Amino acid sequence: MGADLLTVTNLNKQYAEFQLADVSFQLPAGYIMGFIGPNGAGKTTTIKAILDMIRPDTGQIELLGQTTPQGRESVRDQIGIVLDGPVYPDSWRAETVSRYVGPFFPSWDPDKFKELLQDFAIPTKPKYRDLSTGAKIKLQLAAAFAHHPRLLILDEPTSGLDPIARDELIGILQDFISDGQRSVLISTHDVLELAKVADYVTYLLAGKVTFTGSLDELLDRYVMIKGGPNDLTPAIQANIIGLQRSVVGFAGIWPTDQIATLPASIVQEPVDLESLMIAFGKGGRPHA
Amino acid sequence: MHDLVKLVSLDLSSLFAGNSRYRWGSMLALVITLGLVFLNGDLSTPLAGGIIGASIGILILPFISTDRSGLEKLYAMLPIQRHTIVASHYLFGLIVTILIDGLAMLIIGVGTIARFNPVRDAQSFWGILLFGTGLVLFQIMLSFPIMIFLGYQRAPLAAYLPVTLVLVIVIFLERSLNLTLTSMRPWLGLMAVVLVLLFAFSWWISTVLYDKREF
Amino acid sequence: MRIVISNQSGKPIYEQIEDQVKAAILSGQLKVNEQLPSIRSLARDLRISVITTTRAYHELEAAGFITNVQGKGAYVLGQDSALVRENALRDIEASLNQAIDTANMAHIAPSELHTMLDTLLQAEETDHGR
Repeated sequence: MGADLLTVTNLNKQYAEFQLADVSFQLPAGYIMGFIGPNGAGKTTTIKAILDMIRPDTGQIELLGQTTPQGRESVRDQIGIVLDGPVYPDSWRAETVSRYVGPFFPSWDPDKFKELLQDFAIPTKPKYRDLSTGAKIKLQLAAAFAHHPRLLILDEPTSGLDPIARDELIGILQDFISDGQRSVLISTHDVLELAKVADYVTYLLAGKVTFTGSLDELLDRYVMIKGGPNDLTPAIQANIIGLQRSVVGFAGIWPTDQIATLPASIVQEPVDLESLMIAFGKGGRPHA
Repeated sequence: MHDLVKLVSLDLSSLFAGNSRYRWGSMLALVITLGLVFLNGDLSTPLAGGIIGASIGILILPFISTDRSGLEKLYAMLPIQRHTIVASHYLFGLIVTILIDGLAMLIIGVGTIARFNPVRDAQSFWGILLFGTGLVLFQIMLSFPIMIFLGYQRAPLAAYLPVTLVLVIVIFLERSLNLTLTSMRPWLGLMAVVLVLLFAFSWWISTVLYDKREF
Repeated sequence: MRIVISNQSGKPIYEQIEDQVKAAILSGQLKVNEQLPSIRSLARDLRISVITTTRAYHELEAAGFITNVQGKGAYVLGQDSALVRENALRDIEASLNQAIDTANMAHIAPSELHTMLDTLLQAEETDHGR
């Protein structure tokens, strides 16, 4: 395991109706970190802070070893970025990107860019405004990879992609980290794909970090419990996360270190990331 | 330094990005203007003034073209400093100033070879040049900080308010003080220095404002 | 080498890999000193996280089945290693204890357990045509 490519420490940012509070996490070299959480949790805000698009109230951000805004701005030629929404002028075509954006990156590889345009099947004739959402995102991806970055920061890249494209992207990201020196920070609420390949996750809920660490560790911390209506004692009800009740029983998430307190009649299953996020999204208290 | 050049060419590219209708329209307007001036040299000064006024619209192009809605996000992905972005806008402004001066000189030049009433008076040549340069630079220094601070969406207001204000003031002053080029000559040096200082101040303010901006 | 991950089995993925690699080594499919796919290429091929394959390989190393050589990769260890034997005995003891507990709960006599074990072992022998 190499050095951390990205370290965020105690990031705070106050807005009128929303606050990012003490957000901290680290991304070591050679891994994929899923940045997960519901809409409005603060993922895009955090990414904007990392890219110096907004200035945090307090906190430190170390990006590829740089700790100042100027330093971080200068090191962007080693970072491949994909942002939500349109980023290129409407009138640009695919190869216009190479012409006007390429020169800013010392390591821009125009052949690689062309190759990626073909691999991603991005049409080169239409103007940017006439491309499909998926093609727009793939164009950003092609540009991101074309300058051989060390770190990829992707904000909701899968939202406009069909399942085949999403699957391809996962494969591409895995290839990207295969040398153990490069990392990916991918913010998404498409958890199914991510859950398979993410090494680390940082789970953001209402501006706070609910969990950060290896995905395995997060999934080990909780179990899915199920039982009949009579098994739902007040003690269980008080502590269960994401309770689902029905006539025939109940289900929810339970901390693994408190399994001993459960009666034998309760069924226990390993938890998956999606169920965990749904349960916490329902307003469960984060378990330390 | 190289980044500056690349950014300026980004700004310049917006000149050609727009509707070809506008481009053909402006070309046509210029040709007609030159034609009219060729016919009657007396038209050269007023038309030059008019063209200069209209050309100020070029300044706003990098800021308002709807193409640029996501451009601030694009800047966030590039390894460039914020102060370089501001510098590129001002450099673009200076280039536009030179372009407009060139246009004015072209018009006056055609006026000197006009069929009727050719321009003989060197005064109008210099007068127009000074007027043009001063006006454009004034427009830049007043509107750029506002456009840079408010952002691309609200730029039109920032663009036209200052120049309208300036024109009103200039016309008022000219009428009330009966200014001519010769009467202003002793003050020209001072005015030039003040202009340069104000321009530099505007550049500095823009840098400070842009540094604070959040996207 | 064959590794197939089941998302439905309920068993953690790293355990599935562990089990299948162990089986391949014990059955001789993977020879001694044979190099295993790297942690990262295995993760890539199986479409799982690097941390998962890392964990599987660490567990296999702890159990004495493979050795991770820094900078080179993972290699199959000879199975006469004492560590493997020790782990195998431990696993057998756990399984046997579980069988004993089950028998007790169902009131099945120890003699019946012994008979069952002998029958099963004989069936194994005939299966493998020894």
